[in-house]
Amino acid sequence: MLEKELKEIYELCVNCRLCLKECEFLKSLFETRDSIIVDLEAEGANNKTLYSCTMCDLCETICPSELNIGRAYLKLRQQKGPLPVQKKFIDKDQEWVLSDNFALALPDPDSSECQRVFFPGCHLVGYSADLVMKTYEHLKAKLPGTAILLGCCGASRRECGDDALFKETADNVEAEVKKLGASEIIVACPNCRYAFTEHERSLKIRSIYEVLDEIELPEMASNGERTFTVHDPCRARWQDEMQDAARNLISKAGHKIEEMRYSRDLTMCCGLGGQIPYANAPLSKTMAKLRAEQAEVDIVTYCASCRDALAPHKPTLHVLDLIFNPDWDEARTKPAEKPSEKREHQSALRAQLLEKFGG
Amino acid sequence: MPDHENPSEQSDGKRSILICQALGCLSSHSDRIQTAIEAEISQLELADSVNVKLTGCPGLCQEGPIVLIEPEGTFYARVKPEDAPDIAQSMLPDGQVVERLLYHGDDGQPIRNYADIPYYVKQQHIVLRNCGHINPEEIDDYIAVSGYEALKKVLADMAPEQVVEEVTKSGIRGRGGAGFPAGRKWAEARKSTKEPKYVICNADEGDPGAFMDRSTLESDPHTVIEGMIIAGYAIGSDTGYIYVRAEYPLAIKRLKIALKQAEGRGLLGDNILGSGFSFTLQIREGAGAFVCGEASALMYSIEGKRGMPRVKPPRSVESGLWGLPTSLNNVKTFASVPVIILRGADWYAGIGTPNSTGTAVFALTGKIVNSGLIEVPMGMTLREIIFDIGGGLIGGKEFKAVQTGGPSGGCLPASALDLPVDFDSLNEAGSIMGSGGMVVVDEDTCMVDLARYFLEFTQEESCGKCVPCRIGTELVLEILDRITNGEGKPGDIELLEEYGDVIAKGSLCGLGKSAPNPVLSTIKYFRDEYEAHINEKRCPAGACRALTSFYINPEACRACMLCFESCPVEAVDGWLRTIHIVLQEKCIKCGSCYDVCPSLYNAIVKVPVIEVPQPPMPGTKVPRKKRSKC
Repeated sequence: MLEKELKEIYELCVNCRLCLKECEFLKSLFETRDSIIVDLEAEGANNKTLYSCTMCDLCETICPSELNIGRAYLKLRQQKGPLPVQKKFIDKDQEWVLSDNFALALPDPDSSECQRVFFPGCHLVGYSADLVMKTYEHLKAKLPGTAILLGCCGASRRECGDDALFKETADNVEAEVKKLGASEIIVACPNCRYAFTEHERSLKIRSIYEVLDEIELPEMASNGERTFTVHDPCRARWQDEMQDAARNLISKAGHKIEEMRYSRDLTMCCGLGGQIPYANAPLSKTMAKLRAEQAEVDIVTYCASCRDALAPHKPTLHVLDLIFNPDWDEARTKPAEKPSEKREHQSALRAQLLEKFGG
Repeated sequence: MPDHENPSEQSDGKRSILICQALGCLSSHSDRIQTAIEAEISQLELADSVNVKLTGCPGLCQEGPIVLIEPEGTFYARVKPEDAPDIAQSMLPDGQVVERLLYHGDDGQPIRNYADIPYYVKQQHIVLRNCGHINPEEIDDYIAVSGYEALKKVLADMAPEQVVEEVTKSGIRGRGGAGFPAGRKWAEARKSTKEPKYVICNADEGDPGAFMDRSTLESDPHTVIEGMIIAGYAIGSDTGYIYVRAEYPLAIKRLKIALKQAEGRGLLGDNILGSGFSFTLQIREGAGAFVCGEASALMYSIEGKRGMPRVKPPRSVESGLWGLPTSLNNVKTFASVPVIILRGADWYAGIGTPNSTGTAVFALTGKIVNSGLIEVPMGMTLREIIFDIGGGLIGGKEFKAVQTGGPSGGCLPASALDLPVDFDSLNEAGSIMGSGGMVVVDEDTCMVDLARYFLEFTQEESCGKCVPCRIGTELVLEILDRITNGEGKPGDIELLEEYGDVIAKGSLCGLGKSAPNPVLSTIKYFRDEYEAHINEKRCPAGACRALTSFYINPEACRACMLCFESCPVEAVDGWLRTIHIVLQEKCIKCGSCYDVCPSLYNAIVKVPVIEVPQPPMPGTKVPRKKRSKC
């Protein structure tokens, strides 16, 4: 099963143990390089080793030979399929976000030609329907011809090994974009960006942060010249443009940035990656706490999941809060909401969009 | 191929598990392996059909701890106590060979029988014939392989003169280093009319890196004892001494056991085997002074005097211990005697070359794949020894030189690889056969530094009696220190040659006479290295600290942080995905970074101090080579 991966490890691993020192998942379950190899040779001794990797790619980043243990575990997950508990929750979630409760495709009613599609994803809407609405309104005003598409990229399917359903979900998004007559998609979630690049696509993909960094911004909601640190989502690893854009937006809002040692390409996972809360909730919590505690000042991030994972341990904002949320100061410590509440936000946004632009 | 008789075949038809417990394997706790195997064997109720016993050194120390299964000759390498259950299982009637413990050849294929391992194929064991095959603490094991048969034959059928004649005819030359014909020594000692006479075994092995005599005594003490008794009979002596350094406690322990057992069997003491010939043997422990390996100094030491050489003549065969005729021979010379007697002088003389008969034992060490004890026919080329038996150099590095004969020997370059190894050709090439030390060095070794190392040794060990040696070695060392520190001056090489000549000519003993050899031979073959140090302030091998800096090649560094972690003085600046930099002002040049840098990257290079390239800006990222899709 993993002949190619193991051959690479045998040939290229220099046993520097950096992965074992830096990755919380490997550190918690393995003591030596060889014990990892043994586990991979056994194709995942148990569900704990198999489903505890956050797939964050930190291993590949720090490995001198750029070996990726997470990719090996992903391959095993693809062979074994999701855990029943993962499958149950994700099926339920997907059914919701892909149904009329949330899914929606609306062209810009004020423009005859569709140039691009804004795809906010599901987590950001669950975090704040208001932020997404304001972002879209600004986008539409500055870049006429921008449609909005609500739906899901399928990343959660990918991470638990359900590759066929993942591809189908992502393909559908591409089809919807094409149906709207556009060939560019603007994503708000780094997970969506990562998901859309996994397979060959004829789409131009950019993040909303890069776009906002290019166009004229509204008057900033936040003020007070605070100092923040930036938590780069793991899916923004190796995405210099996205990392730069997020920082530019913070600066443009008048705040200072104090970097953490593990930032940009070296960023660490918030603990929610790889669908690990289902298989190893304690590890997930430990990782969130560890990451949040590395920050000496309040955190700004640009992934809604990361925001909710870190907020219980350290005040955390989404970068869009700084631009569009008048209540940004309170939002720093707002607890993560329950799934049911998030679904309410998702439905509410759909209704508001239909009301405003569905005419 | 090892030339031994198999004791287990001869004795009781039992199969044997032989566990090496010479010093090397013992230091890896091979005694625990024996305890573990014994427990497993008794649990499997195999004790009636399987012997488990300790042995001496089978030679391939690199692969230790070694376990041999006989009569099959199965060779298990790098055995641990945890392997005991599998080894015991393999002794069941339907037991399978423990594949994972077998020695693996260059092609990665396991080799089952030790005689097929390339290391052994070209060897011929005479001195080491029993090493690794018998229990050195059991006289019956030695007797089972024709032990003491030679003594019986000598006492029953041969006049002392015939014994001397036989040894003379064999052509065997002294194995201690100088190569004086042993038969002639015996004949002269016999001729002397003074009484009593003495036999001395020189086991004061002192060369750095040499362990031939130690291993022989640890592995087969009886053969040395038998050789000495025969020598006593041949020259007409009734007293012998074994002079062995106190740093060899295991050898001394096994010698004492062997002496007691031999006395118990009437093989030593009064009226040996009813022949009327009496011979006693005593051990004298030396304190480890190198000069006491020299015959006259050694004898003074036995007499309780300060160990210093004296003017010769008279030679010790006329006036040796307490001024009486003494035949002093090396451990390996005595160990060869029983074989010469049993198989005949002609057989022995047929091995090796006309002027250097028999075999040579070497302790093969240094940057070589197979470190260990070897025995080869005289006349084998250095190339065969180093590459066929030794397996070439570690890490496929370039061969640079081989040092034979220890501090008294010399260094020979690659051009000498096809020299036949015997007393005369090594002398001609500027080295000596010596007692058997053979140190192989690779491209990373600086020849000036190597000469300095040996001179440091001789300078410290010089007894001080002869001025040329006492002052001369100090002066030579001073110059070598200067050169390796980058302070060499034009004319230093000529000065070294001049001093070397004076030391060699003006010293009484072998230590002094040969002390300049490491310097003179390296100047002869590696003069360019001396010149690079002196004229260009450069150490071509990158070994001399004062002349060498460590530098991280930014194109090769992959930020594994191994050097960062190994540096004892925080002289490496590094971080994840960030090209590491050696902070030259902090670096103490210990080389630990160089040693840990993975060979896959080889990012750390040695450069001359005067040519350290500018490192990249701190914080420069390691470029990504591949990129997972994202």
